[in-house]
Amino acid sequence: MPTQNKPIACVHIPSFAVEAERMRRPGIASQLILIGDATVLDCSLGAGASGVRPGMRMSEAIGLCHRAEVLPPDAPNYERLFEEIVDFLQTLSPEVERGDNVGLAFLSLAGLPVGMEAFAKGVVSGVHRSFGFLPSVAVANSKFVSRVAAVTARPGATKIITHGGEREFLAPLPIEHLPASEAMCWRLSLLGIATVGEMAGLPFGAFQAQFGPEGKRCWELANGIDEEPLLPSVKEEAVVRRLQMPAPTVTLDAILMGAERLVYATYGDPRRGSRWVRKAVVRAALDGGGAWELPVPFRAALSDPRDAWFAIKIAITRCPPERPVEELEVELVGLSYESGKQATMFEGKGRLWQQVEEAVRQLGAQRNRSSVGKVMQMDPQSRIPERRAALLELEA
Amino acid sequence: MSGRSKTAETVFAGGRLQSLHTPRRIKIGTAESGEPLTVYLYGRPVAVEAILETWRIDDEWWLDHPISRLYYRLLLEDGRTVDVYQSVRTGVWFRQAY
Repeated sequence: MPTQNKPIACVHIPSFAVEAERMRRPGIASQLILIGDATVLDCSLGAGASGVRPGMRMSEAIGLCHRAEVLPPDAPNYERLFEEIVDFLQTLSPEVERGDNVGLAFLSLAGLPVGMEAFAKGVVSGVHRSFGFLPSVAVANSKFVSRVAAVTARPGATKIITHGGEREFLAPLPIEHLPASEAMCWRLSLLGIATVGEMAGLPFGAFQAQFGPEGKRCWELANGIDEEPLLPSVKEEAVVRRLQMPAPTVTLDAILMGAERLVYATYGDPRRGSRWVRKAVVRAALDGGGAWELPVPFRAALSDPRDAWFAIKIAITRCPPERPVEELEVELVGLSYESGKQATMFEGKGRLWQQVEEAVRQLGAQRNRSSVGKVMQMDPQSRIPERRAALLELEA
Repeated sequence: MSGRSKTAETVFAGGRLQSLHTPRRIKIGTAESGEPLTVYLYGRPVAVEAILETWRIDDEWWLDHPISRLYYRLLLEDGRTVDVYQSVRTGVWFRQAY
C-alpha cells in the first residue's frame, strides 16, 4: 500500500542550463542549443527531438543536430541562478530540498495552510514572475511520485497525485522513470516488462529474489511505496566579491593581482566579521563564454587574508584559467567562530611594509579615498593602448 | 559573470580598477582631405608642423561596438609630439599616448 506521508511538491525546470543561456543571450532564443564540452550537458527541446540526449558525445550530437548553436557550459552561473530560485522557494515553505541536479527542488507542504493546487500554481507563477523560468510543479505524498509527475508534466503545468492514486498514475509510464541500472532495465526488457505497472503487478518475493536490493527498491516505488524523507537543505553562509576586468586578461600576473585584491576584499567584508574561513572558491568568467572554477580548501580555518592568499596563489599558479578572463570572483565558505590554529604572538611583517601601509592609510584619510595605486599589466601586447595596463587602487 | 566590460573604469568593493592610457576627446582642425592641421591643447590652437606617421587599427569587429581608429603621430609647431586618432565610425577625435 502507498505510504501516507506529508504532501511534497516537486519543482522541475526542464533544460535549466539552456533556459539560463537563453535569458543571458536573447539573440539565441529561437535557436537549437547544445551546451557542453566533450559531452552534452543540456540541450534544447528541438535538439532533443533530433535525438540528442544529455551525456551524449558532442561530436555525435552535432551530427544529429548540425544547425544547433554549441555553447560552453557555465556551471557556476547555473548554480547561482538556481540557488536564487531555491532562496525564493524557501519563502514559500520552511523545508526545501535541492534535487540532485540544477532545476529540481522539493518543498514540504506539511503544516502550510494552503491547498495543494493553489500552492502548485503559486509556485509556477512566482518562479516565472521573479526569474523568467517556467517550471512544472507536482504535488504527491512522496518524493519519487512528485518528481516523476513534475518531470512528465509540460512546463507551466501543475499536477496533483492524491493519496491512493500513485499506482494508477505510475502504471502506464516506462520503467526508465525508476532508479534502475542499465543491466536491470535490459533484463526487464528481456522479460517483456516495459511499464511500471507491469513491474508493480509481479509478486514481491520473486522479484526481490531476481533483482536483489535494487529490485526491492524499484518494486516498492512502482507500488507507490517511498519512505525517503525530505531533507531540507541547509543554506551555507558565504561572502562573495567580484571584479570585472577592464578587458579580457591573459597574463597570470594580472589574474593573480585581481584575485589577491578580491581575497583581501572578501576578508574585509563586514559579513565575515571576525570568523575564520575553511574554504575559498575562485571563479572566472572566460572570454567567449564558459567559466573556470577552483575550490581551495584550507588545511586549517584561516582568519588572516595573507595566509589565505598564500594558499590560493599556489592553487591558481598550479591550475590557471585556460582562456582570457573577463570577470573574477572569490567566495569564502565554511565560516566558523572556531579555529584549529594557534595564533602567533609576534607577526613577521616587515617594518618597511608597515611604513608603506601606514603612508597609504594616511593619504587615504586625508583625501577620503585611496590615492596610491599599483600598475597592473592586463594585456601588454594589445594593439589597443587602454587594454594594456590598469591602475589598481591600494586600500589601506 | 557575463559580458565584456564596456567602461574603462570598474568600481568594486569600494576601490577602483582603472584603465591606463584611456583616450580623451580633443578638438582638431582639419584640412579638406581630413588630415589634422590644428590641435587644440588646453583650449589653445597649436598648428601641426608635420605628420610623422599614420596607422590604422581595426579590432573587436565581432562585438557590437568594433574598434576602428586612424592614428596620427603629429609634430606640433612648438616642438611637441602628440598621438591622436579619429574614430572611423563616428569621426570623433581623441588624444591617446600610443
